[in-house]
Amino acid sequence: MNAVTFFVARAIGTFATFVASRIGNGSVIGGRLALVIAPHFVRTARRFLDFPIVFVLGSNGKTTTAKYLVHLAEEAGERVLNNAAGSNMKTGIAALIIRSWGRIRRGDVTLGIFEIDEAYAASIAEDLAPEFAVITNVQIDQIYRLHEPERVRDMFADMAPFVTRHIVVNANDALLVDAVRRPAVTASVSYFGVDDSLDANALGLVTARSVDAKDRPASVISRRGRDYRITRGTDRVKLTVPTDGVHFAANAAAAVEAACSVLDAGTKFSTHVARVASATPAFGRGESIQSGSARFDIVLFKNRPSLQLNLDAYDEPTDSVVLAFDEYSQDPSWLFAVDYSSLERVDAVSGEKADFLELALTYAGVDVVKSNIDIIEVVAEIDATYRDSSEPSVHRLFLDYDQMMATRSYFGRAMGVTA
Amino acid sequence: MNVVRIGVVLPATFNLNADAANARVLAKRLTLSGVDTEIVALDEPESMARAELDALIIGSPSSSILTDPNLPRAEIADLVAASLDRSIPILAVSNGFHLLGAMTGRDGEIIEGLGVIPVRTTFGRKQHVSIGARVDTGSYELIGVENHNARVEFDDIEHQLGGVVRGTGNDWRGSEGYSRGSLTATHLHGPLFALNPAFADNFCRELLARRGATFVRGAALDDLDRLSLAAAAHLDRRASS
Repeated sequence: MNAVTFFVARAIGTFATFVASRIGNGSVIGGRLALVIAPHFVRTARRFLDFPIVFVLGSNGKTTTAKYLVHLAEEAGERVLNNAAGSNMKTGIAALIIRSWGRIRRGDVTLGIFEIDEAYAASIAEDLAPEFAVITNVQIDQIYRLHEPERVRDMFADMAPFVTRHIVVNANDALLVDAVRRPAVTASVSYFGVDDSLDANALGLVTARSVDAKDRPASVISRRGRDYRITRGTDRVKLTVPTDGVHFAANAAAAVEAACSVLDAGTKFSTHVARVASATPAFGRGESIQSGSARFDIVLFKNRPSLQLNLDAYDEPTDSVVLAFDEYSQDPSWLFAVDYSSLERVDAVSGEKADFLELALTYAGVDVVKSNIDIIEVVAEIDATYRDSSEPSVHRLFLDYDQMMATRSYFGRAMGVTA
Repeated sequence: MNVVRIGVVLPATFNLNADAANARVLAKRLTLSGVDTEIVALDEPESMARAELDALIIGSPSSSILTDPNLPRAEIADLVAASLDRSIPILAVSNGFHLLGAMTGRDGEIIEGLGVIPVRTTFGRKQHVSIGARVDTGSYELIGVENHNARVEFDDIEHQLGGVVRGTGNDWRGSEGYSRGSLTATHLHGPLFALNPAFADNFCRELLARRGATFVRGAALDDLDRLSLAAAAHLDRRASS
């Protein structure tokens, strides 16, 4: 591609982004247009990205891990360019480059941390030749699109040869370990993981089979309440995770191991671990909203492992439980594979797939009190019932992304703040 | 009547799309109809050898399991053959269906099948996904989701489970699944019994008939079946959108 085409594509993409922002939507429209005009836009842009790039990938936990890693990098003095959750396909990366062009050209970026969708990983890696990659796991996810976990393993295996320096992978995940231990992979590899005593199977991995412990520089080895112990080499320190759950501890271990590999070697392992505690949880995950005396815990899920991990992670009694799910996952079969035994009852199911949820819960022996496809009506009713009560109450909302956005929007309006 | 025992082959791995949940659905429907039921997880070769069952569910594993040297092929083959001999109703889903016959991989390699049914599967590179696939069995229409890269062939078309109304089926020529004796094999994955109550009740009828008993639908199933209809309608809407 010649430079003129690239700059024309960038200019049109910039204009489209500006127009879209004025009408309040279309965050990736500029990237989409640029790729239509210049199909190798991202590859050509790499010449101008004069900083190392880290890819964060995996079926689950990549947004959280990327957020932790961005936090650690910024604490270490890096000026980070990273994409928003969900903008993780090539159009999202192109849009990010267009939006951030001023920063890039001013030299105001020292590190890129990009969350990448697995289906596009090899193609984007071929374009950007990232120096580093962190891969969290291969889990059963979006079967209608990704088909089966082995296909996802192959996607990572196809991506790995394009990584030039170092790859960090989950040592508990046999599929991932297989993907990076292939002759075509020239980058060095290090591992993170959780100790077998914490039950790697419970992390929702398709094939949980830990590699030898000596290959795991950053390992979560024990848990006491919300605190964990984490080791790397001879270091052994306390890890406090911003959001509770062993899977969040695994995400923190991934970010710390990546930070040790990517960032200035002058920062100690123990310093990175201490800094993870003050990271902000990924958008919406583990978020609590206080409305009068009622506390609403919003728990985001997107697929079978993430719902299972989140169901298993919470044991605090609640006054009500809501599950809501919409069109995002076209094939809802997996709802029948979830173990709902941690739930005594569900006060409301909601979202477009409320009927599926109720059917799965009923066959699992969980009573469902009410079904209403409108999550805002469900939340508003609970809010109206409990917020002015003299007694504090807790309400746990297991929501997929769109239901979470609608819920946040409701509370934003109800409390007179922007969600 | 003694407890009805529903066996599930390797429920942890033969469960890619929640196929193993069909055992739970069946058990719930029987229980709500006054029949004591037990689900038997056949997760060890020894448990397969000694199982005394009234029904058998073989869900779909992911493709790497089909070539896994640790898969207890002989034990599964013996279990299925013995169940067929004794007319025990069997549901086999997608790769759990393909495994029962002979298989050829995407690159032409032979994958060792169990050879208990005369069905040949050839895996291809193209994945066939149909949300809201429909199959007409002649007695009723099934709805579900198919997601596979297989071409399935057998000599006698009368052994097809049904004709494809919507979706791909066995071979893109209008045939879906396989039905012979007490075996029902299909590409419709996930909670097939939950989405298709008439099919589930027929399965219950057959497994109780083997015991000399009659299946009398519990009234409580009506509420569940209204939910099934709503869930099936959802799949239909997705299919037409």
